[in-house]
Amino acid sequence: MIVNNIYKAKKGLIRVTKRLENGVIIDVKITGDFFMYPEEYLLDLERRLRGVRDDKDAVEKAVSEFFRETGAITPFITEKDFVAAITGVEAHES
Amino acid sequence: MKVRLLLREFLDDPRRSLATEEAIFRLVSEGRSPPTLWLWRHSGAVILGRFQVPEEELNMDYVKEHGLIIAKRLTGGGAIYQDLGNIIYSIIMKDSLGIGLDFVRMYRIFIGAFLNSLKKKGVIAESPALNDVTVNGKKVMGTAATISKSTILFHATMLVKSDLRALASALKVPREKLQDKGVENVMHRVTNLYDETGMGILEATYAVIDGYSQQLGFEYYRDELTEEEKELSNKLYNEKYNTKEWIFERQI
Repeated sequence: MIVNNIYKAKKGLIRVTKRLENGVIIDVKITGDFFMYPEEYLLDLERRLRGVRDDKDAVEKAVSEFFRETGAITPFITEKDFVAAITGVEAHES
Repeated sequence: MKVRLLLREFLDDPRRSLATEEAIFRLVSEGRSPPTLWLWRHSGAVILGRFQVPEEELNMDYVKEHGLIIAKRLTGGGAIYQDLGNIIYSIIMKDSLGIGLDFVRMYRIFIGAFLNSLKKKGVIAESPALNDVTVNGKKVMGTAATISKSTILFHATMLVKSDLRALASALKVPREKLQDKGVENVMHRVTNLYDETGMGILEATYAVIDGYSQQLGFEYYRDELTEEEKELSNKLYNEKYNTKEWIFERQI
């Protein structure tokens, strides 16, 4: 199952396309007009999300570990924005 | 600080411009190129942010029909439309301001210099979203930046006398974004500097140049690209900026 989320943060739009199998994220692609430094780290976030259960707690854990372990910086948007965009909770389904 | 003023343009090839910009950025970070203020334009282009893909951001039929060239830049942020009424400028320099990774401070400094310059010319402009510039409540400038190896790349795109109808037709602005701003159409959110202030391309160009000399002490000398920059630009053009993987997929 393919799910598309579009999430509008206070400043920035995050789009997430994820492929799910039995409630697990098999593949995910994050696009949009946000900023992340260093830019290459976005691939690391996507890698970490593969194999993670598609629920708020599991995604929150993966996202939080990503920020803590890599030190990635995302001006104007927060960890919570990424979690919301990925899970689709509080987000607009397209 | 002595700063090279670069005015080279690749009007029909935005991918060449962006390859050149990264070449300068890399060589400045290695201490092989001088601090640079570069002003450049294109005759018809759309430039995507680093994390964007064309089909999500562009009205592809319109882009094809009007022969707009699609390119993708090094920095994040949103897609922009470019014609000859729209100026881009890049500031590429070592971080001599002690910015570190404080992007908020960086935008304040670099946008502030331009706002002050406009103010001296009697134009009141603001930066409500931190990385943009508005006049009379409408956006005339968007900016983006990256910092790597203590080197800053800040670039801005300014609508001076651009075809706003073409801009609104080429860019697909998501409903989510417009609802948030409380307007129905992208044409209500953006404006030309000329329409608001009477400033044309040349005056806007001087506003940029003067702003950074007054606020950041840039002392300019005109120069061209170095041979090393041209070589690296060629390499980046062939291996990255002119490839469909970079532009159409989100390869990062």
